[in-house]
Amino acid sequence: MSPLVADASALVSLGVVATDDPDPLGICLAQYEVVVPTVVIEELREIASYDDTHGRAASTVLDRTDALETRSVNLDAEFPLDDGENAAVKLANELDVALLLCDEFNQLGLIHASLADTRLVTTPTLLSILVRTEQLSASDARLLLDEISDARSWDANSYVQRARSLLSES
Amino acid sequence: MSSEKKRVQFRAPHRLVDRTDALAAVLGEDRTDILLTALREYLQEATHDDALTQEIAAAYYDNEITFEQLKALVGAEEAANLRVLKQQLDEDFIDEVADA
Repeated sequence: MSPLVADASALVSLGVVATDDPDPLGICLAQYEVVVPTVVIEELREIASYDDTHGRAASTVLDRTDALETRSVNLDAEFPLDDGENAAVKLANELDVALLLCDEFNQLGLIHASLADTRLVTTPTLLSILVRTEQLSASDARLLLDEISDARSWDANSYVQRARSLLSES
Repeated sequence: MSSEKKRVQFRAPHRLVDRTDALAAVLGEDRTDILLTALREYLQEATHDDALTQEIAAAYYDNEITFEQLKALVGAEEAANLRVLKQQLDEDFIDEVADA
């Protein structure tokens, strides 16, 4: 199993649809050795304290922490990212993992530039990958992306719109 | 940014040109100054509008504008984010990650 570091943003996205069938969080946890910085778990706990879609999504992810590996990371305080992303980038580089899963679309340039050999993927792209590897059907992936997109208010985002049409072609 | 000027020609409704000239007279500037200020302020405002940024991003994803043009419109930082997102849509990139 290839290792994958996940940030809170992407875990919340996957958490939104984790009670669906098929469940992409479950597939991701079965497919990859998912490693999460402890500060990301703290962020999820904070998000889970709200009674809304994001809060419920974070709780769903926290219920599955047994399937995750958590690691503490010494943060580089100078780095201009929030603690969770900062820790995720640092952990991905320290462990030299294949993938970093992150949905902070507004910070991706900086995160991408900070990674050594790790590839950055977002949840919409992860869904495309799961379709490509035949773990999900294109139509299921599209429905899941619609649901995540609603919860995350991604409807007006051109990247998400393109990602959706990518799924309808495959 | 280059300060070299490029000549641009366009037709505009009389009324709009008359109002531009009237404001130029009031401010003691010329028509070009007013038009440049108007254009600069419009571009500044428009590129801070989320909906328009998404239109610009879509044009970049569809190869209707280059990365350099994208950078001129939205600035280096946002352009860097959009470049990563464009890569996320690339079939070859998805294949590479899927095969890894």
